[in-house]
Amino acid sequence: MYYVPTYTLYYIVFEVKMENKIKQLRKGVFELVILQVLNKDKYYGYSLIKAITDNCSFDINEGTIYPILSRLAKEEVITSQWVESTKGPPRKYYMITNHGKEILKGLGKEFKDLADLVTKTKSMKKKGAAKSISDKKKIYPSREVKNG
Amino acid sequence: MGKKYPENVEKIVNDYLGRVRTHMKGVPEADRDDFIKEINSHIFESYSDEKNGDEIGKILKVLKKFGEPAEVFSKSAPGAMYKIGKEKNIPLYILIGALIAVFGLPLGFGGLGLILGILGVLLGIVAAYYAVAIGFTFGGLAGIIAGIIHIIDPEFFMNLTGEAGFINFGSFQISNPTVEGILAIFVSFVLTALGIFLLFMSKYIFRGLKTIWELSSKKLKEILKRKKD
Repeated sequence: MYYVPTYTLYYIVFEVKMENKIKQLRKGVFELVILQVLNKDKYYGYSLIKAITDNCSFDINEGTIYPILSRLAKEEVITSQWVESTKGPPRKYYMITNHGKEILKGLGKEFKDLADLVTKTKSMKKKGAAKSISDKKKIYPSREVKNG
Repeated sequence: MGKKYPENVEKIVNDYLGRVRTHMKGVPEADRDDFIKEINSHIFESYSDEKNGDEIGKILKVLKKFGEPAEVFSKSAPGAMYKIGKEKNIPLYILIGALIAVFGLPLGFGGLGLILGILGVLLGIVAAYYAVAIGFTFGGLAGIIAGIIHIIDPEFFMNLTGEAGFINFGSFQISNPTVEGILAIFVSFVLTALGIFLLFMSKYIFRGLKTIWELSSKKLKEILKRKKD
């Protein structure tokens, strides 16, 4: 039965850490995504999650959108309205408020700045990289001649 | 597709919504009803959209996509919104694969016993862990108090037990009550700290155990269900 503790240890060391990091990273972004979708049109929960998952390459627990929506509604960033449906039970439609549009603008700009920062720092050159390359050339001058 | 579920599907949905409800304690009743109504609407739409499989297979798939109530409506939501790919499914296969490798048992009815065994072991681990952690914490605290009492009144424990030495490991004895007391307090302090550390760490360990527990009990339910059918 030592598989249980072994897995537990593996889970503690790796998965929990990684999972938390990913959760943290996505947390804010998902609010932005929801607001962006609602900024285009009004959606009910199921159609909203479909609109998101259609563009999404990883699994999402569909249900967890509802706590987020309910919080956004409480903050008056979005509003909701029940509408009868011919296909089944009534649907609760969500719409972005004017306050929400302002928030979206702010969040969108911030996200763009952050994304730019990520791209820029990723492609940043190593400190002293240029120097070490020229050093190599000095050490192996013959290779350069061969290639040329 | 009409406006209603088939009867057996409705039972599953109602059971699910009931479980959602239990995770919404503390939410005002009007909000709760509204929420349940909304989730029901979602599940219905999702079920109507599901084309492949029989009724039961379809609704189970829909509910799986929606997520377990505990996961979806935990306090940490919306953090729970994000599954990391399919990683969460891997451990069960590893676990069961390992079990098959060790015991050479196919997972049919024999698996039922095995999984019950796993659940039992988990329960045992949890109980033992807490017993040790709580034992350390309170034992340590008691030791600190005993040490202090011994410094203030060196006769106290002698009168109580009739034994001479406060710290007494075979021939090892200390004659100075203050030194004895300080030593006792120090050792007890370390013990208490270890106990509290264990209690603190338990939340991390139990997240791992919880996952195994959920996976095992899910599998158990599946097996039981198959058996019924």
